[in-house]
Amino acid sequence: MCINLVVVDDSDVDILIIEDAISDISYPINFKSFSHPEKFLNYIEGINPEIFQMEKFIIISDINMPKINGFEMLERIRANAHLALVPIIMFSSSSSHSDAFKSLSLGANAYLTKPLQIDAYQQLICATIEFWRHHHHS
Amino acid sequence: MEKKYKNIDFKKIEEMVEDDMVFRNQLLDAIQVAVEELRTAYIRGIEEESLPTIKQARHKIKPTLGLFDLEKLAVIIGNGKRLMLEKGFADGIETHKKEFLEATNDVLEEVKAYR
Repeated sequence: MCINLVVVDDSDVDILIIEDAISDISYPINFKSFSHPEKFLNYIEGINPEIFQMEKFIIISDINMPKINGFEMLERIRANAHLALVPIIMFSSSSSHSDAFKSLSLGANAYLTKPLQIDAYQQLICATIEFWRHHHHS
Repeated sequence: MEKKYKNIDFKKIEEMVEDDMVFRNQLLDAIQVAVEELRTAYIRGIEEESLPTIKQARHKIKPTLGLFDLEKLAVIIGNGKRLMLEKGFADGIETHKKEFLEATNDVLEEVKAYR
């Protein structure tokens, strides 16, 4: 089954590194990225809800973004019953415990700090996708 | 002798792009935009004496600084953080601003020349 990987990050550098990381994964991944959380919310809220029962989605999101930040976005997604079980991984350069705590409190499935080495960064992305590919409830 | 810091490590970019010229240009474009956005937000933060604006700008550029070894800019931003926490926006801020602008310009010039 194809994985729908959706990345929300206002840094094009991060989006390119993630896109490059998944290019070596052997199973099919439908990759979509959004630089603006509001565009992502329009996209995800506009999808036919049945698709979340039929296909696997994984959302990886930054926190520190303009206008709507990652926390507000997370609240909006979790308030939508159709998206309640979609795995959401918050991925930030912040190692602050309060950011991690807030993310998990708002319904994120995991909180990861962005590594500062390319190999480690890409390995973490691949391991995250692999993990959630097997731990998906919808 | 004062240590010489790198502006950017292009070897890391080459290792990542593996001769894919389209990807290479996309990555260089993205680094350029990231540094330009940092420069705009950081200088606005200094001019408005806003620590949250500077913190946010610093936070946003952190992965790019680390992943591609923008050493000189990282050191200057680190020095600026200490300076602002200890002395606010008074002593030394103009010197820091000048060093910061020079460092961002150096990165942007190197990226431009590398293409």
